[in-house]
Amino acid sequence: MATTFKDYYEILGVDRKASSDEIKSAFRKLARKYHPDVAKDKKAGEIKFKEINEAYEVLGDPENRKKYDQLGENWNAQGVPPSNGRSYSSSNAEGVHAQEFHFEGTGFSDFFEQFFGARQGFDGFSAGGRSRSAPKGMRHGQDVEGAILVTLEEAMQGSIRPISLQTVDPTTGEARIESFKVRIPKGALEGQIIRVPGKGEAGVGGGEAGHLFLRVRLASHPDFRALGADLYHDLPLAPWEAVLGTTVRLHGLDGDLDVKIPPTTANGQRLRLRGRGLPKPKSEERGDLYVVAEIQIPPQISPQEKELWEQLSRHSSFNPRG
Amino acid sequence: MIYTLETVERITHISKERIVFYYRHGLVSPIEVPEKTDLFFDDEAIHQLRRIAFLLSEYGINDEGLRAVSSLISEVERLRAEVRFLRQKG
Repeated sequence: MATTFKDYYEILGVDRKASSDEIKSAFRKLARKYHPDVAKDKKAGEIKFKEINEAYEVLGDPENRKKYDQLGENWNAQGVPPSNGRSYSSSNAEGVHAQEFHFEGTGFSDFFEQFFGARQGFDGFSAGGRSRSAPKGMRHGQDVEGAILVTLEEAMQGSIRPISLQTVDPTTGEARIESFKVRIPKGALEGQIIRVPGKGEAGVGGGEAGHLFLRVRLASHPDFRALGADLYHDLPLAPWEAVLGTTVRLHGLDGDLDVKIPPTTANGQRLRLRGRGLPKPKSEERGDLYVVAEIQIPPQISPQEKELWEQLSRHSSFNPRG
Repeated sequence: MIYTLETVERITHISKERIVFYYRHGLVSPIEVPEKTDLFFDDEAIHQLRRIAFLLSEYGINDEGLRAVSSLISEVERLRAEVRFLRQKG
C-alpha cells in the first residue's frame, strides 16, 4: 500500500522557508480555530486539529523538519518514498515482510508513523524484534508500536477511542479491517504506553499474536504546555499590569478561572495554582497549573505615552543594573 | 490496567524469576498498590520487559549492558519530553 506524502507546510499555511516562530504562530492560530471545543463543525474540527498537530510535530521540531525537508526533496514524481524510511510492517525471522499495518483513529497518518513515529526511536527496538522463544514450528507474533495523539482535554477526562486496523498480507494482497476501542485513561501522560493485547502481528503455528503498544503523544495546545501532570500557561502582561497587579480570566481545560497577578510581578515569575493541572495517574490528585508572566513591551507608543514613560524614568529610583 | 506477576509472566513469556531479577536490578518498575505486598505491573512495565527480551535476543546484551541501555533510554525519553515542553514555550 503506497504511502501518501503529507505537505505539512501547506497544512499550516506557511512558506517552506518560514522561521520556527512563524511556524509556531501559524500552528497556534489554526489550533485555536479548529480546537474541538470551539470548532463549529466538531467532527471536521477534530480531524483538522489532529492534522495540524501532526504537521506541528514535524515542522516544530528542528530535527524532524530537517528530515522532512530532505524526504520531500527525494520523494519522486511517482510518489514512491525513498528507501530510507522504515515500512510500517512486521517481518519474520528471515526478514520477509509478513504483514502491513495501517491504523485509522490514532490521530497520526501512515506517513507520519513511517518516517517520524515511535518506530524511529528507541521505541523501535521492540517493534523490530524477533519472535520470542517458542516450541519448534510455533512462533509468537511480533509486537507493533505506534503513537496515539491525545488532546489535553482527553487526558483530563479520559476517553474511549475507536481505532481501526487494516492489515495487508503482502503475499496474497488480502486486506482485513478490524475495529476496536482503546481506552485513554484519565491522567494519561506524555510518553505513557497503552497496550492493546493481541493486535500485533499474528502468530504462526499456534503462537500467540503480538501486542500493539501505543505511546501517548499529547497534542500541542495553543494555550497550555504539559510537563508530567503539571500545566503551564504563558501569560502576556503589559508592563503596568505586572507592576500594579491585575486579575486575568483564563479559559482553563476544566472551566474559567480568575488569576490574581500580584503587584511587582517579574518577567518569568511563576504563579502556582495548586491542583489545577492534569490528573495524576492512578490517583485522585491533580498536578498544578503554573501561570508564567511574560511582560510584553508596547511595539509603538504615542507622544503622550512617551511623555509619561519619561516622567516615570525621572521619578523612579529603580536601576536593574545597580 | 494493573497485572499480577503471574499475568505478566504469561503475557511476556518471561519467567517470574527473571522478572523479579529485573525488578531487583532496577530494570523494570512495579506499581505500588496500597496494602498489598505482591508485585504489580502496568502496561509500561510490560513494554519495558518486551524491550529487554528484544535486546537480549537481538543483540545478546548481558545484564550489565541491559542496565546501562535501559538507563540511557529512560534518560533520553525524559530529555525528549523536556525538550518538547521547552519548544512549546512562548
